[in-house]
Amino acid sequence: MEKVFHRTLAELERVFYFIEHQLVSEKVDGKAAFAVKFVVEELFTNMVKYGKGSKGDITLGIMRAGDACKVTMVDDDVDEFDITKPKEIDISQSLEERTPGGLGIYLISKIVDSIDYRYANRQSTITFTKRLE
Amino acid sequence: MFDFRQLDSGDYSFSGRLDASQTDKAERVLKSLTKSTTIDFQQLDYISSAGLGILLACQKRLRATGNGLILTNLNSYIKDIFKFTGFDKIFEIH
Repeated sequence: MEKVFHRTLAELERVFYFIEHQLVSEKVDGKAAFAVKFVVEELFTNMVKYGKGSKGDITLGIMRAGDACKVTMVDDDVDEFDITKPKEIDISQSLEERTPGGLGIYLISKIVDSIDYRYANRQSTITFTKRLE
Repeated sequence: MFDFRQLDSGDYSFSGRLDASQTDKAERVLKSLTKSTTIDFQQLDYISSAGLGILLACQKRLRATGNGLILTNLNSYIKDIFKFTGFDKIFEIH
């Protein structure tokens, strides 16, 4: 099932409501459910942050695909930004050296089992999967 | 929805979902801290990188004066996030 959201952080409450409803109906819980919420929020907030000039909406789809949960996010009227190539973060840095920048995208790469990015006609499509346990 | 409660000891308890739309509320608490403080995560279900960012800023500020945050009762999912980011090494976690 898919749902369309406006490009604003004020939509996050509706985004989480939709995710939780879909996870229950698709019988996805535990670590996979947490991962789906985390990755969708990171991607959604990134799309809001870096797509300020866009007049397009963000479409979110969540479905069960065998022993995994498959999530697709379509971001309309945006420039290309491949989130599957995150900057490496040195997690051994001291507290003084650490900055919060890039943490979300870095974590996505650690959490998902697969992630794919496509860009065409000013539309970004991100698909990721998380295996159920 | 994120919420917090101040305990009689002066420490805090966080609950709910600390996502990017809720960081202002949590940040107000964290910015008010001036000494080492325990935050109980027992009822905190979820944290995003936006939440991690404000915890990091608070920890840096407190450490500069020899203080720090003590985080307790993290659920296993939040523990994983702290481990993946190395935050388990920069916070005191019980």
